[in-house]
Amino acid sequence: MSLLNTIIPELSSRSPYNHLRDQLNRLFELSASRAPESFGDWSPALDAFEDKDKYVVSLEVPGMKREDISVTVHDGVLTITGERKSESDTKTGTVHRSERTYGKFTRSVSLPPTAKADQIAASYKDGVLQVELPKAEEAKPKSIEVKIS
Amino acid sequence: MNTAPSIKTIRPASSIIRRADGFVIECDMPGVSREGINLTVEKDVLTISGRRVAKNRGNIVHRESVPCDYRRAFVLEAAVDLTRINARYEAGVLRVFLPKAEAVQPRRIAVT
Repeated sequence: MSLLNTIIPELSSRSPYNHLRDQLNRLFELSASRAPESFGDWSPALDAFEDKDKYVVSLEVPGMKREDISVTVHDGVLTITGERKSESDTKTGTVHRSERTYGKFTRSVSLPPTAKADQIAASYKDGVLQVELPKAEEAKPKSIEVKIS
Repeated sequence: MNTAPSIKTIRPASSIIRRADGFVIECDMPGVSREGINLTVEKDVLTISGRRVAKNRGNIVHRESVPCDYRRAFVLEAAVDLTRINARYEAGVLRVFLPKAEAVQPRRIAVT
């Protein structure tokens, strides 16, 4: 139950403010508990998506080896850690300009309780790590057919 | 509410390394497939572009990546042999090798 709804009961269903209120609630929820955390030398860009069947977290970590990335779930928190090492080319020559970041990173995201951590799957392609967690049945939207008599 | 911003391009984070036999340019281009990469040389300008693979992965809950294609141009030194430029793309990193023309490579001269 949102705060706005209890204070101003007339702003209940079908009000034009509902959409805005939902957006605000979502924003505060996100910043309070769901905002991804970051530690380390660099902070690779993290995206989170959801559709009706699953949650998807993707991380832009180009130039990595699969074995240098670790994905774990502990107490409802998904943690991705890794280290990008500089390639041989930067050792054999003189670096003129360097904008690419190397080193360790750790990104963590709180998972919704409906994410099935035991069925987690991860893939690494074109420098993007993608982690997928199926949703529990009760979290999937259901449509109920209502007969009109 | 979630209308996409007009598509612009971003410059990929790049490193330039000078070696005895030429130059290496490394560009971070995550999210691009090999087929989406385009390299052109016109006069002394090397242009690199990469098209992001558009994926519908559901509703966005949180986004930090920039949903733009990559594009960057580099002015080449006269010493680069344009006919022998080669490139490799692996794990989101494009690595372009720009060899120096034989005539300008350092040469050890034996003293007898």
